[in-house]
Amino acid sequence: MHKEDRLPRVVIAEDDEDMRDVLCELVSGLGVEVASASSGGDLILLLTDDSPVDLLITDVRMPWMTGFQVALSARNSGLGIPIIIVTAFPDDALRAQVDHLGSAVLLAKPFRPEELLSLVRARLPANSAIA
Amino acid sequence: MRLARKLILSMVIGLTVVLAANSFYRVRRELAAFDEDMKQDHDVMAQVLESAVTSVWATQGRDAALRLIANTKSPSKMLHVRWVDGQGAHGESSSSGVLVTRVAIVVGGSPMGFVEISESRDFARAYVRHTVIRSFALTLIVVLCVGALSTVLGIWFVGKPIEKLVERAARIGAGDVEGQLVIRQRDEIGELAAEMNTMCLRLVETRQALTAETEERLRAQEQVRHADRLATVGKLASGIAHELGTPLGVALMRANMIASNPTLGRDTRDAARIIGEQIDRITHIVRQLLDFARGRATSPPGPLARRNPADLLAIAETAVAMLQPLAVKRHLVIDIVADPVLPKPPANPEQIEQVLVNLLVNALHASERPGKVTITLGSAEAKAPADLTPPVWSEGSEPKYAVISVTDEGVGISPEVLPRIFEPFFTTKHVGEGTGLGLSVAYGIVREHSGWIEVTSERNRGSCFSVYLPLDSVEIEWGTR
Repeated sequence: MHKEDRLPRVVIAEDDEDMRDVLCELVSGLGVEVASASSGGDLILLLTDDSPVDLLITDVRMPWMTGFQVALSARNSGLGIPIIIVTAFPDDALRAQVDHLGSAVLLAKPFRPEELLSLVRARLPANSAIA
Repeated sequence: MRLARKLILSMVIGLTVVLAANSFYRVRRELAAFDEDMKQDHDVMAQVLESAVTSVWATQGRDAALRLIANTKSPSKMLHVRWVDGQGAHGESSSSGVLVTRVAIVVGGSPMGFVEISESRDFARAYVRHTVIRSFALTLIVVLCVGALSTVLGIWFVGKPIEKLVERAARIGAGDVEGQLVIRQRDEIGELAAEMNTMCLRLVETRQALTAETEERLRAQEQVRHADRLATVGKLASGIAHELGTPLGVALMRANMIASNPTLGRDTRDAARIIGEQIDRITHIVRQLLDFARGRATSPPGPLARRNPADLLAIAETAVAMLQPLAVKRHLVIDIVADPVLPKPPANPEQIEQVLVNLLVNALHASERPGKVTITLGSAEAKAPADLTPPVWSEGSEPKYAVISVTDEGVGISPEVLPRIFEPFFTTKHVGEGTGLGLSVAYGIVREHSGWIEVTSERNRGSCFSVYLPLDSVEIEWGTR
C-alpha cells in the first residue's frame, strides 16, 4: 500500500482546534506525516483522496458525521487500516461497537501523551522510519 | 356493676311480690277456714240449746228455760249466749267483728223467741296480724339473704367480668391490643372474652404485618431515593468529566511537550512538569468520576455470561499485596478468610480488584489503632435492593450471590454520615488524604456488575462493607480451596 521510502501517514480527525493542534504536534514528533480533519465530512474527503493512510485517529463527537460512523464506512468500503477512536464517553455500547469494528482501539479522554504515543507506535508499520 | 344491680333489684322485687302474694292468699284461706269452724261450732251448740231449751220450756216453764240459758257456760270469753224475745228469722248474721247465730224456740207450735249465740272475731284478727307480721319478717329475711347472696354472685359472675370486658374494650378502642384477657367462665361472658382475645390476636397480627409492610416500603423508598440521588450526582459528574476531557487532554499534552523540549530552560521545563503532574491528578479524579458514572448508566448491564468467572481469592491476594506497605505502616494485619468452596462470579477482575482496593484503603484509614482488617470471601442467598434491576437468573438456579466483605476494627461510621458515603466527593478524611471518590467508584463498578454494597457500622467498633455479586449457577466453576 505504501512505498518503502515514504513516511507513514497518520490522519487525525478532531473538532476541537486546540486538541487537534496538540495531537498533530504530538504525533508529528514521531516523525510521521500527519493530515488533519475537523469534521466527519473533512475526514471522508481525506480518506478518499489518493494519498495512502496508515493510521486513523478520530474523535467520536464531531459535526456532520461522528468519527465512529466514518470509521464504520471506511471498514465497509474495505479500508483495513488500524483506527484509534478517542472519546470522552467510553460507555459499554461504544466499546462493543469498537470491538466489532476490528483492529480498532478506544482511548478515553483525558489521556496522557505517552498513552496515545504508545498506541500509535504499536500500530504503525514495523518497517517505517520513526524518529 | 350497674347491670348486676339491675338484675339483683328485679330479682328482689319479684321475690317480694311472690312472698307477699303467698302470705296474702294463705291468710285469706285460713280466715275462711276459721270462720267455717266457728259456724259449725255455733250450729252444734244451737241444736243442743234448741232441744234443751224447748224441752225445759215445755216441762218446767219459761223461767226455767231462761235460767238454763243464763246458766249456759260459754267455752270462751269471746262466746256469749242470751235470750231474745220476739219473732224473727232463724239463722245467722255476721257483722264485721262478731258472728251471731240465732235459733228460734217453738213450744207447742208457737214461737217464743230466740236463743242468740254471738262470738267475737278478735281472735282471728290477732291471728291475721300475727301472720302478716311473721310473713313480713320472713320476706324481709329471705329478701335480704337472697339479695346479699345474689349481690355477691352477681358481682362475681357478672359485674367483675363485665367490668373487665368493658375496660378491655376501652383499651382496644384506644389502640392497646397487647395482652390477654383472663376470664375462666364457661358461659357467654367467657366466650365473649375468648372471642375478644382472638380478635386482639388478629389485630396484633394485622398490625405487625402492616408495620413490616410499611417498613419494607419505606426502606425500598429510601433505597430508590438514595440511588436516585447518586444517579443525579453521577449524571452531573459524568457531564463535567466529559466536558473536562478535551481541555485537560490539551493542557496535559502541552505541558508534557514543554517539559520534554530540551531547547527550553530548566526552570521552564520544571514548571511545565509540575503543571503536567497537577493535570495528571485532575485527570485521575475525572477518570474515577467516569468510572462511577459508568456504573450509573441507565441501560441494563450486559449479560453476566459475557464476563469470565473471576477468581476472588487471587483478586483478594493481589489487593492485599498492593496495600501491604500501608497496612504495615499503620501496624495492621490484613487477613483473608475464604469459604472452602469458593464461587466464581462472572466479573471483570481488574474492576473487582479496584473495588476491593478502595474498600481496603478505607478500612486501613479508619483503623486508628493496631489491629486487623478481615476480607471474607463466600456466597449467600440475598434479596437485591429495591432500586436494582435484578439479573436474569439462568433457569432453575437460585438467586445466589458471591459476597466479598471487608471488616475493620476502626472508628466506624456515624448514622448521619452513613447514607451519604457513596456520594462522589463525600469524604470524612482530612484534606489531601482522599478525594471522596473511592466508595463512589466501588459503588459504580459493583452496580455495573448487577450487584450492590451493604454497610453495617458501629461507632468505635468498626465497619463491615459487603459486596454482593450475582452468581449464575450455570456459569460457576467451583474452586477447590
